[in-house]
Amino acid sequence: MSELSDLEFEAWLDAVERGEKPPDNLSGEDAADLAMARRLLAFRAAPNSRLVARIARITATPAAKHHRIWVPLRRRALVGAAFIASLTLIFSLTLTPAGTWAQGMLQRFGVTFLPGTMPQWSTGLPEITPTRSPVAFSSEREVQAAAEFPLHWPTDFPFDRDGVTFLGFLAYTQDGAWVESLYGDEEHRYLEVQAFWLRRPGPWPVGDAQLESINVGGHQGLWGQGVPASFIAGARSALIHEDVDGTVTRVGSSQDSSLEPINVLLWEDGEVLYMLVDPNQHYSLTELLRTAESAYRDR
Amino acid sequence: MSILSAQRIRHLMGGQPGLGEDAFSDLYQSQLDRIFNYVRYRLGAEEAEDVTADIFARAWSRRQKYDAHKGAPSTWLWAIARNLVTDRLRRRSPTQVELPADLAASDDPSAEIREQEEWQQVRAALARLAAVDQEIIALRFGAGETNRTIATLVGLSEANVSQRLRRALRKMRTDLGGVDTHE
Repeated sequence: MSELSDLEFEAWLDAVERGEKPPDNLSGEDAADLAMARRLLAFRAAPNSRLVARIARITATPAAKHHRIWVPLRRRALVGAAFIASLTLIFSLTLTPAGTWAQGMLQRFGVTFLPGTMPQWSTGLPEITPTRSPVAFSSEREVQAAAEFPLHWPTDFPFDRDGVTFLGFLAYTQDGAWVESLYGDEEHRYLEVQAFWLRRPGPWPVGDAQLESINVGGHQGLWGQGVPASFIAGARSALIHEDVDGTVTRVGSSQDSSLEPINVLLWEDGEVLYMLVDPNQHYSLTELLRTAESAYRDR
Repeated sequence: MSILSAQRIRHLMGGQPGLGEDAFSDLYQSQLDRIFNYVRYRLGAEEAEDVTADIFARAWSRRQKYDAHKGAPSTWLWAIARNLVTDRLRRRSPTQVELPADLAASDDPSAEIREQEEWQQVRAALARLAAVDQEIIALRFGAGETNRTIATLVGLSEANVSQRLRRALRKMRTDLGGVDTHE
């Protein structure tokens, strides 16, 4: 007995789903496949009354505000430079052996930081004045076309790209440029890729037990796990106020900002510093390394 | 200085003009069973109720963002459902095993235990399939979607879905040590 075509098999699947019994003259393989299908169908269940009541309660309430993530993204590009500074400040304060590196980073962006001085949020973070307004893009191709330096885009992500929205920002600073790209859906940020064009590359001292020196596709890099950071990892309160005329001011105090741990993989390629940020600490070093190195492997 | 205009944000979020309450009610009526069973097959019985409620809560809170130009309401709802399930799977540790807590109650405890054991075996076999095949099986046998709809949802051709479905069934039954064709 020859096996059913895919079309015939699909028709029999429908029949099995309707409760019909397959004919006895099917091949053994087809009969066994349909029996497996019947076995799978047997586990369907009806939603219970508790679930129905829960949804009824939900739909009895007015629609909630929706923009929990993407609207803050508008602010994110504005504070991108501030984030860099804050991250390095945090490195400097919390991971002392990495302090030299942190200061080096700050200096690259034209920021001077005195070690041992606690940042005063109310006085504002060190600001980096963009030489051009940040521009947002919705595809990697658009960002690459606008950037004046080569970007390496990972192609191997530890999540399904279907349904993931890409947002990219490009802005120029006094000392280079930064590109920030975010992969996420309406609720979550899965991964962030950041690239900084550094006009003043310097030494690259790396840290202690909490930071790990690592090779990323043949380039020197750094792995930070559970690094406390703000902005990027979900400062929930209003840290930035944007007036209708576009004026941005920093508001709030240190109590308003929550530092949350992030995982970050950094590496330097020529004059460009790349960062792969896992804001929710979902992914392992192996996964992030694979993602980072795919930017080189699949070029 | 503006990074993303309100118009652009609306575009990214799904545009206007939204889904009316009646339309949402119709969507709920037609999709509740499907979504619930899809979640059950993907995440297990333990999480099915909570996640299904979350899916409809999310859809309800965003119903004003539904854009008819981008597809049918069911397609929109399925995108929300699949994203939420994917997110749950991503957060789950690889070894996490859920227990089938809400199988139909039975007067015969031994029958219920047998059914639970079989459900666990089937889910374990399902979990050993490729992610896309798990999705296809859950959409076909849990949600009862057609291969055509599944093809649209997972971004494969209908023929590819048919082939993968059949191969997945075969792999599962091999994994389970054969299925009694006369049950």
